[in-house]
Amino acid sequence: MSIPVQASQAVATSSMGAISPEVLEEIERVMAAYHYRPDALIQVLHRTQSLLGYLPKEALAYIGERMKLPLSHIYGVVTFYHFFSTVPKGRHECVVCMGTACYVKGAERIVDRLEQHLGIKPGQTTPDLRYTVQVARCIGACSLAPAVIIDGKVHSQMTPAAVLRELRRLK
Amino acid sequence: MSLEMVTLTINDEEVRAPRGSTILEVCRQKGIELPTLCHFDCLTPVGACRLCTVEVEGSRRNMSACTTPIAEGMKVRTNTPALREERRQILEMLFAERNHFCPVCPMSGQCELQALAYQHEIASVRYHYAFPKVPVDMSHPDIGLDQNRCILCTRCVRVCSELVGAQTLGVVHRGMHSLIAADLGVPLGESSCLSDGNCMQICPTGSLFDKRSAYRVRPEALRNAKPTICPECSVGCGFLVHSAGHILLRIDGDFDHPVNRGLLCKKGRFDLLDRNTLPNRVPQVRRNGRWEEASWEEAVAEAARGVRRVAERYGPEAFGAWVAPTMTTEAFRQLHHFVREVVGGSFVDTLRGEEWRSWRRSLERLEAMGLPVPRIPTIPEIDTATVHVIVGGDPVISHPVLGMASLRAAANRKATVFVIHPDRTTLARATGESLFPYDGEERTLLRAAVQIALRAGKMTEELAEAIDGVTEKLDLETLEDTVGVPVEQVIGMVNLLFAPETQAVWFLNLTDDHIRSLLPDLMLFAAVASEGPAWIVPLTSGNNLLGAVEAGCVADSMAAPRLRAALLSLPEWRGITPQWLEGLRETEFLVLHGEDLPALRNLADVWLPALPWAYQGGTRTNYSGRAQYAAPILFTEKAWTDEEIFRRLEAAYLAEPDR
Repeated sequence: MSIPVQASQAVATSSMGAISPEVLEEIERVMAAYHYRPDALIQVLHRTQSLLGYLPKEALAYIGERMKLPLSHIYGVVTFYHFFSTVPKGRHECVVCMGTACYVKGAERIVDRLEQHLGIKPGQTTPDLRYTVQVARCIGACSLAPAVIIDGKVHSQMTPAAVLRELRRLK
Repeated sequence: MSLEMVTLTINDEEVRAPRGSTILEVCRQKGIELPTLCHFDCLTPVGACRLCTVEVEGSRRNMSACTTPIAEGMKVRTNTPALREERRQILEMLFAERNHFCPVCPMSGQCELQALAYQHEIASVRYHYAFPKVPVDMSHPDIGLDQNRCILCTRCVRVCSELVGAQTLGVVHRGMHSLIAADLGVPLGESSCLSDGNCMQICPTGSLFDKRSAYRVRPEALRNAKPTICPECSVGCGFLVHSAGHILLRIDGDFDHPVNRGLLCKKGRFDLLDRNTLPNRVPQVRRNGRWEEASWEEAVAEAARGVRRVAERYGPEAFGAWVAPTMTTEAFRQLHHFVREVVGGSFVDTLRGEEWRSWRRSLERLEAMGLPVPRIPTIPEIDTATVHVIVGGDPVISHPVLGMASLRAAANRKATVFVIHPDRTTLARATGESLFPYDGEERTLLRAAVQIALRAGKMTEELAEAIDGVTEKLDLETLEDTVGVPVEQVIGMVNLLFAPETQAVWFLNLTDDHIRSLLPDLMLFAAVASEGPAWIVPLTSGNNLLGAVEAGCVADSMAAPRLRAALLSLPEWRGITPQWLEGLRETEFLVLHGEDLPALRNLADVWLPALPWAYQGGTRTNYSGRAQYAAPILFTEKAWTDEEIFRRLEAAYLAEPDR
């Protein structure tokens, strides 16, 4: 027996915090499109993260209640995949490739310098929410090693200084 | 119905077993030993630990026996040197992966991992220890979670979702960084955990451990548990009690017991341990308006004298007794014999006896209408139902092991679970199919359901009329405003209940006055909706209401005779209402057995303290009519059991000289 979509309003009360009604409606639409099937969880989480930038606990609780999935199960999926994040992401994302070629060409020095300058380890976000630093296993651009992706744009043959220079240009 | 048999060879020996069995099941049945850690009989096999690894001829790699089904002509080897070496390696890796320090673990001596290490003669580990930094969660009052000792077998996760249905525990992160976590990674003590501790009981290591018994005794002391029956509610679960001297150490579920099949709840596993202080409670008698301590013999003689005095002055019918539905059937019988047959008192009634009377009246009505008499299903039967309807109450709190049947049915999508309750109960939150009528509007909701069934031609006019007031039509359009439940939801429920393939089970909370007033109509509706006899579980007070009925301790009607002397036998009972006390105002002599209830202090003349549950042995009849003998766990010379008290009281009464 499926639950009518309007019922979501009963659940979506004040506990939703920063999540706007429009975003909730969109999440609801995605869940409805998959008929609240439990195996559509990853798609729903994917869309939610793309809407909010990360997966806040309120959103996970909402999805759990609507799709009738336990929080423990959702949290297991969220923590299993690197892609999902339960903490807010910075406005700018810097992904350092740590594949074999990039590693040999000095990717680790880039990561170290970022840690020194920004005070965060890979996977973390600066307190001012300006930057998030990530590492990737291999982005498949070995000829450009060491490669760094900043806000979706691939930069080739990077040095620690060049990465910092690029980042400083972003507000 | 014959099972299709499969022939295979295990270690060169030909065996036959039913198709669909796993290699492990066949091995266990034939007495072939295979080590396991993640396997647990009543849980879905997952093949997480790989210790049951076996060689299957023709297969390129070894298979886990617990997850591999047998096949015709299969050739299996379970104990080759290569397999023994592989198992050793697996065990060594388990030890290297986390921080296992047996000497400081409370489960040392009872640990399955440790036992297997000894069995495989592991003296050293050839791998580098990872020494990971692993969290310890001691936030829960009764359950410790130290993941330094976790082997990620996921038994706890599976028992939590498959049997308890709470779905609190899960696995987070990946690979060797995996951890057990509650909800969204919150501490166990702040999670949705039901504190039933079933995870703790089946943890093969000391990762989930009992905080109360930890480090209190040597593990050998925990080997002689006594089986008995839980006295907490009318479910009557079997459990094993570990004790030392007069101290109860720990309670474990009995996996061989047919009622609960191992599961326990917080009340049975933990709360009972608190309710066991051996009372240094001495009987008391009131002399010249003052309470004085007395010996048991004196107190009983005083009670017998008082009863005789009243019986002689006003006639024996001026004497009667009220009991709580919390004693053994033997104690009920003895009390009944004393009050009704020896003294000739006018009545014995049980507090909350109205629960039984309303149930019986409802059954009689169905019988008179020629409808099949409902049956009370056992828990294994409940597990086969496709629809659960819980009306009033929250069995997860009141009768938790029954509540777990509904929780797991909802969690594993085996049944549609409707909770009809004004509040968002634990069960309602978990099931998501709940109807939340406004408080007191359950009757209107039932009438709406009848009307919907009538309109759909699923019910005759006659039957519909038999259910209170359905002749005057309800306005279904405005149902949501008046009752608080969308009409579509009621229609969905009615359609499902009347569907031919549906097997519904109803849980009716008889402890609620309002639901009890609805009972005859609710049961009629359930009987009409069901193809065969309806399955109805009455949720009642106390642990032995049916035993009180058998012993004649539930009066036919709730008459309130004017008594001059009364025996109140209320062990473990706190539900005294002021109205009920009013009826005792005219008594001249009152014997109180049980708790020292402040409300009765000024009225009673003799107080006979009751022993805690662990000292009381005897029979109790559970919700489905199963009479079970509960063995006493502890013994004392200082005080008498309930049954003994009534026997001595009777003897004292008979010994009392006439003048």
